[in-house]
Amino acid sequence: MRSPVRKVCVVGAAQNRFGPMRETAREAAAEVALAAIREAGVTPKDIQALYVGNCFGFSESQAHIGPLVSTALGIPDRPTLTIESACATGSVTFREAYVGIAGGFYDVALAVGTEKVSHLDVLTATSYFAMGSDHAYEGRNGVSFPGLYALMATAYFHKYGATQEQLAAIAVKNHRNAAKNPKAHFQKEITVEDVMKSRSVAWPLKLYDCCPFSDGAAAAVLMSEERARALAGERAYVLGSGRGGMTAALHDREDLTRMESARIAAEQAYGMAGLQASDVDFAEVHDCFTIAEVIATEELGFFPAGEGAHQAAEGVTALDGELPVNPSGGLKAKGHPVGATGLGQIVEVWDQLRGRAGARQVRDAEVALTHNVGATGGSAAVHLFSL
Amino acid sequence: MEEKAPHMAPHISEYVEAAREGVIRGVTCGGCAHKSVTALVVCPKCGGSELRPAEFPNEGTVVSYTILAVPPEVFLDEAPYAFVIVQLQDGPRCTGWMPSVKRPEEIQIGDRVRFVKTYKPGMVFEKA
Repeated sequence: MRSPVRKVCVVGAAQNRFGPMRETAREAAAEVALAAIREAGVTPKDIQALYVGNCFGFSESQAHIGPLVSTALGIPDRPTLTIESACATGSVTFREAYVGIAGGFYDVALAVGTEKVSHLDVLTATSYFAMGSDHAYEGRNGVSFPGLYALMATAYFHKYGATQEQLAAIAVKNHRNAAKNPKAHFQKEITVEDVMKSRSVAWPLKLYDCCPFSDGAAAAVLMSEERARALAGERAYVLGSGRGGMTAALHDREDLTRMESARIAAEQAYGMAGLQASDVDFAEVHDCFTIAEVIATEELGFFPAGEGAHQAAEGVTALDGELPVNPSGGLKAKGHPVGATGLGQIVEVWDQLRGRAGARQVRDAEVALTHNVGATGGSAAVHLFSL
Repeated sequence: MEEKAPHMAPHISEYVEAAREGVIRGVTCGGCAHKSVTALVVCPKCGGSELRPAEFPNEGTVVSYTILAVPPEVFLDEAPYAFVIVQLQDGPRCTGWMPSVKRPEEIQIGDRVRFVKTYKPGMVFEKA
């Protein structure tokens, strides 16, 4: 991997409240984009390129929403790139904007992710989400998206002896954090008993092990360090940016308890930043299902393989723990508007690093990590940030 | 000089059609003997592109499983059922579902299973 040509900063970031929204995905994208642009202290005219993440536009009879967002922002002449990478769409979108600036093509770029699925019934949404798998061999053979993560959980339980109660503790922790987040889809605390009593979706995963289908939009304005320094406002540096991949189909993996793409992305991000896992003060990780948070915290190097579940159950990753994970509430409770999720993580980091996270503020939050994966790990992106 | 275009062997449509006839099709790498049901044009193990059509044994062991209570739409009337990843004997891994397995107590990692020809959608397995 070659080093980036120049440093990149986030100078503004915003999201709407995740959860059912009235507006279409394109409208929500334009609204959060304008909020991020204003926060950055610039105007839409300063944006040189737009990167727009969206997965299920076809459910709104709409593809190619990039130009719709630029048009709504009054800058239809700017180049747009519409991006789909399943659940990693938001962070991949951010990464492409990062690359555009780090590589010297642009000085100011907008990354925005947006999703609307609340107009779909649960069965249709379940079928659409399964399309992120290798559908010919997985979805077509009868597995749902939760089912794929359930296969990982079964393998993890078998290999390491973890339990459903340990996974439940992660759901409880993320709901507790989301209850302090006014932008979260769910703002209600739950108990381990609630999780254990919730109905089975894909054994061993229960309803409360699963993230919701959310609507939502999130955006970030990125700038070259030089341009950012000329502004009066705050900035967060992108210290590291990593991308990894792996086979989409679970049957092509030797070890179902591992997610190589995330490990590759993390190694690149740590390497670029000159940091290691122990330097991270808090992390927003991809917890589409509770088992996903366990595997994430292991691949990111926070815990050795097989340790993630019980470390979480013991409170190490709680808001007041040694290493807070998902202070926002995560996908599990803050919500998972697929195309927006990765950018929503960056909004949380932006708020936390500047001490603007209110009741869920992480103490001494100086180095933040975001981890976002597409479907079952076929795409992964890891980013490191500090002020 | 005309170069022969790479060929997916078998095409996904052939894999699906063969499965309807009770046969699991895929590829074996001519270079390193790596086996796969997933469509490939280059072997992920050795980088070779000499991928030959192959048929694999119908029997294998369960690598992992889940019991689906909320299935994709096509499978709605069948829930609950087990979905399994299977290590085929002398073959690659593949996936399928087990209409007869309704509860987690009824299945374990390592169980012997067999692919069967049915009128149902997807790849159907039963206990061997």
